[in-house]
Amino acid sequence: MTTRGRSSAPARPAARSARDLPRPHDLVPAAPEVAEPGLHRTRLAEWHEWKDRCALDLCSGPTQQSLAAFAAIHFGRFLRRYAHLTNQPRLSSQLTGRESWHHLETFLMVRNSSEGKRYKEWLFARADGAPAGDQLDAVAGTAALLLRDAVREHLRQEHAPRGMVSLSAPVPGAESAGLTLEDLLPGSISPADEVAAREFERIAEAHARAFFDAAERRGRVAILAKHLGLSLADPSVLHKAGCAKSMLNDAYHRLFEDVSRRLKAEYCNDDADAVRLIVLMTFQQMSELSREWGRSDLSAAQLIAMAEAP
Amino acid sequence: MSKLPKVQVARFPESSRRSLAAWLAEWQVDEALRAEADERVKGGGIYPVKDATAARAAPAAVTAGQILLLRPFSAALAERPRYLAALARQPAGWLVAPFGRFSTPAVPGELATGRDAPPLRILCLWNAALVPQHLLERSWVTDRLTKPELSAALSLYRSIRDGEPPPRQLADRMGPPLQHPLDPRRDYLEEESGWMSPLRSAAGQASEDRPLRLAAERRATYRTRKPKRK
Repeated sequence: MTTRGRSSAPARPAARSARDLPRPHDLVPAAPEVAEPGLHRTRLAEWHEWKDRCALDLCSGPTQQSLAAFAAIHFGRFLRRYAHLTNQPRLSSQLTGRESWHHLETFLMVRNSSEGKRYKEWLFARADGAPAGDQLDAVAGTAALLLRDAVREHLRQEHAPRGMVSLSAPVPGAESAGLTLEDLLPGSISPADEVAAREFERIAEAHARAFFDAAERRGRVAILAKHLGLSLADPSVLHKAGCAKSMLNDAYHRLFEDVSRRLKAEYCNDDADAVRLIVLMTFQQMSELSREWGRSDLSAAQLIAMAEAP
Repeated sequence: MSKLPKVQVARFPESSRRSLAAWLAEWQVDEALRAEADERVKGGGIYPVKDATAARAAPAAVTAGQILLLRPFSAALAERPRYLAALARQPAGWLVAPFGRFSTPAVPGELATGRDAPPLRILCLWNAALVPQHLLERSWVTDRLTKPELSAALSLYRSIRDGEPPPRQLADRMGPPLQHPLDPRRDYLEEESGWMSPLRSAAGQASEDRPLRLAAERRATYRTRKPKRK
């Protein structure tokens, strides 16, 4: 079942990135039924009944009511939280408990057969490691996590962007960097412009060398790690950089933003598309240069060796 | 006065923009709800993973095209149901590709299957790996790829592995290019390759994930080269 088309208007882009938002415990308390889980407790036998009888409709009345109430609570809670985080107060669940449960099952089902519903076995296998008294929490807790994904799907169906997408629209989840779709998908130099393309590469290389030489060590390590496909959370990378993950991540962002700002200033009278490309080409060249630097730097060379190890 | 040479920029089509906007919207919701879930819902996550039912399950033959649901034998596999497509048998194990959790392909290495079932909409060829048979044979078989699906998956996988242009007929089923260093999709790629790493390690190919991922990240160039004449 799809609920597409029920909403009246497409959602506007979120005002802020989820990464930049305060953690939930800094915000208003969750709804009472969530803050006090004792308000509605399912029973393990109900979950087993649902697994054995295949569908909620085939379960006994009390089990149907209990599991539907469970789904409604968690579905509504995730939806409210998202509405709060993205400043969309009108976003709320109009769904009944049964509809919420249906969303969960539809989201998890591969096809309408016993093979297509193996996720139920996965759910119970998932709770296998829990102590006997905690089995219910393990099953219900995992189901609640899965409801989160069902809510994401519900939001996609109800509030997905429609119509033309503006190139200058801010990118959700990346507002901190001030990025737009145009920044993320700038295009490429037309094949007909072979001469201009070579000239761009030459200019980018010269800029890259100057920027890389001026970059602080932390930024160089970050760009090398990215170039090698290593995570900025990798302990070896952090050790070489001599800082925490967040600082290294910041260094990487700062380095790119600095390159971007300075090139935009230098080419302020040029076509914006061309400037976007020269910024990205310069950073790509810096990435290539980082390997050259890494080979000559004893400490950074270990990262290259690590990345190239079989 | 302009300083850069005059250049003609070939823009990506509106469909790429729309696809990227849709993916980013899902990613944003995922990020926001994950923070909430991490904070409030801890059931299961705090327990050691011990899937006793696995020991009782009889090992079953793995065949090409099977869609397998992995047993939750590690924390990463217990986070959500993880589905893999078995693509081809190789001497070191099975070449498998995981299905993604979103409805839209993120990068050119992801393929929209055209299926309606949410767990099977996107096949992540960039995250393909060799996995030992013993890790797969106690999985649950949930469905099969059709022959055209398997063929499309293998051809896209090979194009990524060999650094060749992707098959033209798959172009409108693949994700948009990844060009920007701060694109949120880079976080996603890192995260998704992370949960596959232990499976790769089990097949003795600990560093094999990076070249494929890097290939996925570097698919886009800022200069469109003319196709080579054969």
